[in-house]
Amino acid sequence: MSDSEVEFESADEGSKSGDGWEIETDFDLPDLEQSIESKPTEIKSSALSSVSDLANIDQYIEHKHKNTKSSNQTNTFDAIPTLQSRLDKLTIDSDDTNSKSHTLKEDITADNALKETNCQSSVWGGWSSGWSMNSLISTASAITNHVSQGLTSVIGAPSPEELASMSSNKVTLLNDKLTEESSESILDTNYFLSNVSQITKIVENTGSKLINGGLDTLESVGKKTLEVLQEGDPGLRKKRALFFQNSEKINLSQVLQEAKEKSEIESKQNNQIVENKDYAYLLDSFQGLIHLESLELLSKQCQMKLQTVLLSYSGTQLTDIQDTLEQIKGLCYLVCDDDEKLMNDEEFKKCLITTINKISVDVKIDKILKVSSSIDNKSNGEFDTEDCIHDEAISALAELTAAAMELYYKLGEMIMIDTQNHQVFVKAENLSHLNEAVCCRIRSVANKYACLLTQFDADDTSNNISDIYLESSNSSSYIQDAAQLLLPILQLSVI
Amino acid sequence: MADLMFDYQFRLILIGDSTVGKSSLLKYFNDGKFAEVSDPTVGVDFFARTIQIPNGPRIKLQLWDTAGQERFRSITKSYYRNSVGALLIYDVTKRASFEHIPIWMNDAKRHIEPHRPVFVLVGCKLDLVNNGASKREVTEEEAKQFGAEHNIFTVETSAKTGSNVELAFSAITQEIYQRIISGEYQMEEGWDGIKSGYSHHSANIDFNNYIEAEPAKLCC
Repeated sequence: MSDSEVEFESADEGSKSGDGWEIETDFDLPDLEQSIESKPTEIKSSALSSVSDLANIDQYIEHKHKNTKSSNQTNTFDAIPTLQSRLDKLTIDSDDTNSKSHTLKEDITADNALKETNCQSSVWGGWSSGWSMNSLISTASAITNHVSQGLTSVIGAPSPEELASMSSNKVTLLNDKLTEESSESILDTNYFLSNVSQITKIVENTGSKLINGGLDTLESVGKKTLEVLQEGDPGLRKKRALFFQNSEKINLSQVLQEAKEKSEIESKQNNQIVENKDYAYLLDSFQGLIHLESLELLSKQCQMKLQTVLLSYSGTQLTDIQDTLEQIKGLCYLVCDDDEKLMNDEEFKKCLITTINKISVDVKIDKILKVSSSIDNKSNGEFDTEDCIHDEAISALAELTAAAMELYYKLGEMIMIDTQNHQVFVKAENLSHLNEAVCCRIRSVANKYACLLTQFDADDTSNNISDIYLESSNSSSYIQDAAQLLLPILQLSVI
Repeated sequence: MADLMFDYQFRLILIGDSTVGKSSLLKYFNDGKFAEVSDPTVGVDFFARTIQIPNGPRIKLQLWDTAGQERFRSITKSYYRNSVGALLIYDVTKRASFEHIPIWMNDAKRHIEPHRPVFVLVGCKLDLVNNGASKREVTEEEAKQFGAEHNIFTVETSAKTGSNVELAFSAITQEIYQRIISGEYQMEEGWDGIKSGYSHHSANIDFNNYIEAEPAKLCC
C-alpha cells in the first residue's frame, strides 16, 4: 500500500516537471525514506522511479477511467458519482500532462486518497489493460525532453529515454505475468501486496539505472557549466566583480563632467567664452570634479577589495563582519535632525575642527575654512546689480562644494592608510556630523544670497532666487554622495 | 585656474622620493611663486594649467602631485594608470633620491601598461648648489647619461628662482604631442591619459562657420 502511495506522491513531483529540468527535485522525494528502510544500498534507485511514475499516472488515469465506465466491474466504487466527473477531467488532462500539470496535480492528490480505499478491490484488475511501455517511455521522454536534447548534443550523455527503453523489456515481462495473475484473483489482497512490492522492486532496479545515468548527466552538466563560466575568467573574478558592483549607482563625477561639457558647448554657441558662470563649469574650475573623480577611484578600489575579502570568510565569521559593516553604514547614514539648520562661518569652523580631529589629524581644513570665510566677506560686500549677486552666489556654492570634495578626498586617503582602526565607529559618526555641518553651511550661504536678492523686485528676482536654492540643494546632494563614497573605505579599514 | 579653451588634456604625474621638491616645482609652475614652507603632500594633489605649444594646439595639463612618503604608496599607485607621462623628480643635493629614479621609473612603466609613458628627468634645488648652500651630489653628466640610456629628456631646475621650471613641463608636453602626431598615442575610451578638448580647429573660425563645421567635427 504505502509503496503505491509513495509512488504517486513522487509522480506528483514528476508531473510538475513540464520543462524537464525538475529532475533535480526528484532527489528529495519521500521515496527516499521508504527505500532506506527496505534497501539502504539502493537509495538512489527508488528516487528515480518518479520518472517512470509519471507513466503510472497516465496508466492509472486511463485505467481508472475505464473502470468507472465499465459496467462489468461493479465492485466497490462508493464514490463513483463524484469520481466520475473528476476522472473525466483527468482523462482530458492526461492527454497533455505537461501543459496541464497544475490541474492534474490537484486531482491526483485527491485520487491518492481515493485510491487508498479503492485499489484493494478494484484497481488491479485493469492494470494490464492500460499499461503500455510506449506510454512509459514517452512520458519519461516528455519530462526530460529539454534536458536530454541539450545534453546529448552538448555533452554526449545518454538520454533518459534510452535508459528507460533499455530496462523496459523487463517491465513488460513482469506486466504480462501480472496481468495473467491479476485477472484470476482480483480480490486477493495479500497477493496484491506482494505484487506491489515486486513491481516496486522492478521499478527500483529500473530506476537505479536511470538515476545512475541521471547523476552522470547532472555531473556533466555541472562540469560543463563551470567550464563555460570560467572560460577566460579564471576564478570567476570578473563575474564576481560584475555581481558585486552597484548597478544602480551612476558615477556622480561623470554626470557633473557631462553637465560641464554641455555648458561649455552652449556657452561657445552663444559666444560667451569669457564669462561663464555655470555651476558645473565653476565646480570643475575649483578642482571639485577632479577630487570627486579621485575619491570615486579610491572608493571603487576599496569596494572591490572589500568584496574579495568577504569572499574568503564564511559562517559566523562572515555574519559578524557583515554586522560590523552594517553598523558602520548605519553611523554614516545618520539622518540630519533639522533640515532647516543653518551655520555661520564661526559655527562651521568650530564644528569642523572638532569633527575632523576625531577622524584624522593629518587632514588640513584650512582650505575649506578659508573658502567659507571668504564667502562670508564677499556676501557682506556691496553688489551693483542683481545678476552680480546671483553669479556670486552660484560661484560661492560651487567653490564650497569643491572644497568639500577635496576635504572628503583627503579624508578618504587618510582613512585608507591609517593603521589605527579601532576608532572606525567614532570616525563614521563624526563623518556624518561633518557632512551635516557642510550641508548646513551650504544652506546658510544660499539663504544669505537669497535674502540679498529679496531687496530687489525685478522680473528675474524670483527666478534668480529659485536658481540659487536649486544649486544649493544640488550642492548638498553632491556632498552627501561624495561622503557616501567614504563608506567602503571606512568599512575596509575594520577588516 | 585653467583656461576654458584647449585642444587636448594630458594627465601627468610627478613621482620621486619624499622631500625632493615635487610640490614646490608644481607650485612654481602653477602660481609662479616659491613656497618657503611646504607641508608634506597627503596622498595626491591636483593642479591644472593650460600651455600653448608654439604654432600648435593649446594643451591643458592636469598635474598629479603625489606624496613621496612610503605610507602613501598604495594610494599613489592608483593614479599611474590614467597618466600619459611622468616627471621623475630627484634632488641634486641628495644622492639617494637620484639612485631611486630607476625604481620610480619601472614602477610607473609597470602601472601605466599597456601605454608607454613619456618620461622626463627633473633635478630640483639647483639654487642650493649655485649659491653654495649645499653640496652637489648628482652631477649634470650623470643625469644626462641616464637620460641618454633611457632616451629621456633631462633638466635641472630651481623652484626658488624658477629656472628651467617651464622648460621641464613644456618638454614633456611637446614629446607627448609629437607622439600624438606620429599616431603612437590615441584617445581611448576608458583611459584618461589623453583627452580632446572642445576648441578643435575653432581658433580662427567665426560663429557662423562654426555651426557648419560642427557635424564634421562630431564624426571624428
